[in-house]
Amino acid sequence: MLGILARILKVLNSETAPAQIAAAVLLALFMGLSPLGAPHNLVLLLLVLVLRVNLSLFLVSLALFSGIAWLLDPLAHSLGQTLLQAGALEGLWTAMYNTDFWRLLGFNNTVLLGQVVVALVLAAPVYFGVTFIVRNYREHLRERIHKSRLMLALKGNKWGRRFYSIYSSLNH
Amino acid sequence: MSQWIRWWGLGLFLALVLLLWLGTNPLIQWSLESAGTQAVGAKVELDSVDLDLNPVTLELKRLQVTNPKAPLRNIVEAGRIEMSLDGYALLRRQFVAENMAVEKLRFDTERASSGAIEGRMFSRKKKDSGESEAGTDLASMLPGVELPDPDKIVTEERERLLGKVDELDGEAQQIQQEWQDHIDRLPSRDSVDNYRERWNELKDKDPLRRAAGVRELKKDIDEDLDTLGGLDDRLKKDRQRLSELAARARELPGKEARRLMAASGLDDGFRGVTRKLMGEQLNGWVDIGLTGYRLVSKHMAGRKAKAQEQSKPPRGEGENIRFPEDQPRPRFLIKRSAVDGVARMADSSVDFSGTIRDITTEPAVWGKPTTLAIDGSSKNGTTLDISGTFDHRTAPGRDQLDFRIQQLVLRDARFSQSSKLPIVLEEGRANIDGNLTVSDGELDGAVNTEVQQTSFAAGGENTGDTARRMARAIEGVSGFRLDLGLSGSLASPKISLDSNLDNIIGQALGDEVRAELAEARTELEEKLRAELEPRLDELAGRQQALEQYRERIDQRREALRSIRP
Repeated sequence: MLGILARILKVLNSETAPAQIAAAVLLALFMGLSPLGAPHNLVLLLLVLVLRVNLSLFLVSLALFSGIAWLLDPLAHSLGQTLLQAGALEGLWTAMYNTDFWRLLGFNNTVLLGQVVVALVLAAPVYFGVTFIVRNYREHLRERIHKSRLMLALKGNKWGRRFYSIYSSLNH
Repeated sequence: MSQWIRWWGLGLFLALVLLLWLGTNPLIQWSLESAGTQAVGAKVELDSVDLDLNPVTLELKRLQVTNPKAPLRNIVEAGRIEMSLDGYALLRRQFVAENMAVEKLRFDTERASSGAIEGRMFSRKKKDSGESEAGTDLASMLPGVELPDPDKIVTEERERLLGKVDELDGEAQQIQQEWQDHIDRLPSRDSVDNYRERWNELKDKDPLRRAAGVRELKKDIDEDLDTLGGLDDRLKKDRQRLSELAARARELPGKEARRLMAASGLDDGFRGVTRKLMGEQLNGWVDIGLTGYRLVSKHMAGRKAKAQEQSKPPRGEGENIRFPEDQPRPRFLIKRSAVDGVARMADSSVDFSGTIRDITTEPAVWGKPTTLAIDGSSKNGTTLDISGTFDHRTAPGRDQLDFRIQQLVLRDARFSQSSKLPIVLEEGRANIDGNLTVSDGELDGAVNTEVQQTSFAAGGENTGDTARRMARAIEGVSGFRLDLGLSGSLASPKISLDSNLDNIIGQALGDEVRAELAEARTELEEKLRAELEPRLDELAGRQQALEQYRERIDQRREALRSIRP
């Protein structure tokens, strides 16, 4: 756990572009909210591995969003069911249902559709929110936190020292 | 741009995809085994699975389905199953097999290790042998060996019989109460006196007022007489009903004594003796058949759909919504399945082959029922013919199975496992005709068996005199008939059996045993009557009360008529 936190802190403090960090969180959002066996996750996995997004942050975010997906499951089911049974969209769904590609993606599954819609709605706020946080952290917060009493207290603490040694080993 | 690309990531992805492909067969095997195990409630195992993509075929080697009730045996085992799949349908998440070949199918085979799964889904409770008809040891109850104890039966049946009498008495009590109400509403002595007084007063009045008064008095008395007239009809009906109830109550001990003796397989005509002798075996055979049917049918469309409608989908699974399709196809469909195998039937190994068509979990979508046609033969002349239709296109669905087995060779078949009267059919040839219909969980079936060229071995070391006589009678049988009837529901099937063996045994035991049985029945009847006597007297008393009411009605009528001007 300390190792993961240290890695995240290292990423935040590194020169990695904020967009790359935000992209990792964004991809984790889509993968984490979708059921594990969803076919589109294979494409997302390809993107995660090929694009230079931060893998540590991706894995942490994936775990976080998977937990959120479990909690959101009933809501996603209701949302998906409402959308799939909406009279105005029936023509669209019927056309998609008769297409191999969409059938393969399993769009007609209530939970899958609901969670993908939730992910789409959250995509822009998450991406821009993470970019904003990383930029602000680097410009204003990094030095202040480094010199804060909390950090000094942490360095004096047993666990804090262990965390710091992990963090330092990552930097070297 | 290159700062965004991680080339080793592409290599890792390809390696992962390769790993996934290599793991496909074990993954399919694991999925099939777990789904099957969950469905059956005991281990379902495969030796290997092989998926080919060009053309898309799936091959399963040595499928074993454990019998959940006998974990050391398989209900069914298939040597090899090959399916040619529709690749496009797979892309649509549909499992559609144009053809399937099931080879070396065998039933009730031995397993190398137990197929029980620990804990879950394997908690089918065994029936209490005391309640099960199958567990009754007839020989121990046979006359001359040990007759049923009337005192014990009376103690066991007391509450139930009193309940029956209470039921009859309750109705009689209600009739009596209604009559009490009628009697309370009858014109009282005061009203008769009142009419008399009015008549006396009218005598002193002038003719005009007297005539008017007389008319009015007559009208009032006539109304009361009409009321009494109506009660006459009612009284007649209720007397008849009470008399019926009293007769039924009087006959109850006799009827119950006959019923209880018959339930023990010991009525005068020995009807049901064969049922008792073969009970365990019969129940076992029917149970094997119905277990197999339940396993298949519980995954048929109607039931699954109903179950899904009632509950929310499990977390993470959701629900797949259907939309109109140009060419609707079910999620699971096997259009044609050729099967071949060996069925071990008694002393015959029947090589069979046949076709099962339109196996699907959504027959309503596919629009065709599942049909089955199988025939086979053995070297020793046994022939087998099975046909069936499993139609679940509309709820509640209807399954029909017809089968015919000719010249089935029987050797060392256990008829009765009774410790005091074991019976083994050493040899014989059977012709069996059967049919079974299941609709909405209700069973309706018949299996008529005619066995010829029989040779029985009956009796053992513990066999008593009477059982020995029965054994001799059975050993002399050269042919017999068994007509098995199946009714009730899948959850609690009822089996009936009619056989000419009943008469053969009855004749063998003769008048002496019949007289012994009649005596036992009379004793039981007397004990039951003594137990119920006080309640029966109470019921007879209610009939007497009704007689008193009739007298009171007549008295009132006379009184009214006597004063009517």
